[in-house]
Amino acid sequence: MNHFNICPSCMHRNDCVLTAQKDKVWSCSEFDEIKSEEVFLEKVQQPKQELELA
Amino acid sequence: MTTLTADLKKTTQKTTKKVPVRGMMDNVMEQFNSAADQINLHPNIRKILSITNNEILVNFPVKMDNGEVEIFTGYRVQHNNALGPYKGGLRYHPTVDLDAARALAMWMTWKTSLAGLPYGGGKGGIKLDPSKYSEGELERITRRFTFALADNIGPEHDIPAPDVNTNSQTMAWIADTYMSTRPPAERNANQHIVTGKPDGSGGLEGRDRATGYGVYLTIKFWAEKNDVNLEGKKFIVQGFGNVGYWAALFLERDGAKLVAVQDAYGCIQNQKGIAVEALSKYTKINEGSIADFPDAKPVNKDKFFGLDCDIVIPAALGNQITKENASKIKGKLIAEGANGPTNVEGEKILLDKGITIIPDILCNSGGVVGSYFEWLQNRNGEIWQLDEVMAKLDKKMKESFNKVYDYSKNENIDMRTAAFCIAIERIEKAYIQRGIFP
Repeated sequence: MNHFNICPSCMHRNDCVLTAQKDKVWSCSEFDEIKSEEVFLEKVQQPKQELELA
Repeated sequence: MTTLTADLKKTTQKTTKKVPVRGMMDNVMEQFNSAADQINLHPNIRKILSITNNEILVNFPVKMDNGEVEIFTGYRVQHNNALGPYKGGLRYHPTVDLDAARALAMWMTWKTSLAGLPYGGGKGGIKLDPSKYSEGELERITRRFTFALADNIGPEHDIPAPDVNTNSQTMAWIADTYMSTRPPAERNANQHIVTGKPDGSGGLEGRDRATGYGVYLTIKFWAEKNDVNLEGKKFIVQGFGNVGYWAALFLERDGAKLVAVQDAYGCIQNQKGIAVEALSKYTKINEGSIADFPDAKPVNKDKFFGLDCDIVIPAALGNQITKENASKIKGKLIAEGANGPTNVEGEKILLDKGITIIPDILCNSGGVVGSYFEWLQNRNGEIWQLDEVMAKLDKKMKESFNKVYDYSKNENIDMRTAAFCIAIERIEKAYIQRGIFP
């Protein structure tokens, strides 16, 4: 069954006031793709590690 | 083995509760069947239009920045080409699949037919999350997808356009790749392989405003038909993107007054009027948001569609006017700038109240008409000026509007049903005149 929707990859997904039905949107003028920098930051945020010499 | 299968089926039937979920295809088919019944569509043509002509699925490898190779899946669904080459967008999104592409391709067939264009309907895309890839990777993915599609697309066969997560840059890459794979003497004759290109690479002057201008035009034509003067009329706009902004700007130039706007960030109102250009400038310095615009007051989001106004322009997304809010609408005209903003229950309430709906398939068709102009321009080796583009758009939109308006009056039906009937009848006529091969 089709679950096509664009909200999960929209930068407004958590705060958008336009709809509560975020599983049914296939077209939206307010759609802004999550910036790759944001994803990159999410990916690289890791605890600092001490440099250990072998 | 048979017994085991039967047992498994039995168990599944017992334990799985069937939950009916309506797919996009169900909605599009419902609209189609309703119009087909209305016009008493020939059963053979109903059969043809109920399915897609071609569904292309390609798996293709692309080298990533880290040297690894990743395999991507791309789709192109070609619904119908009775009136001309398939036309429709390419979207890059993790949820792209054949079902979604089928529904959207069918939708494009009706849209291009209603607009009186020599096109059919198509749609496609790649299943991916673009935010996870670098610009260089996206370029290679796009080029390799174009190569994988090969002769399944073509300037006289299937013409893609931008859609969700694709833009003029994506189209420029497709055009360059496609043209590069043609024999040298034919390369420049293939620029119209895609529309929505950058204006320096065969794109159309004014393409940015084509959809919004079309929305404004349909409102203007409706006003003329009904002896309504737009001067001083109040309108509200949901969505202040490309469509909402341009529609509002052109309406303001005709003396109408923007009194409320809603975007992803919030909702604002000023019954004395909100200056469109000032709001647009404000959003540019406010991270795209209309919230806290100094010349307006915030409004509860749930009250937006019930605000005092004459014209409502839902120009953001679908399922916005429903049975919950339709009865509260004060406007006398709904101009659907977005795709599917009014659902079935909402529409019934509006029609019962005597409110006119300019349906999405007509109202926001300025965009696809603009694409057609770009294609024509490239095909004929011409470069059109902005005023020429706007004048042609005006003419084309007026033809479509008048057809729908007159049909709805003559048949005593709403404009949406009229629009679908006209679109399907045009395709039916092509099949009847041409016959079915062999």
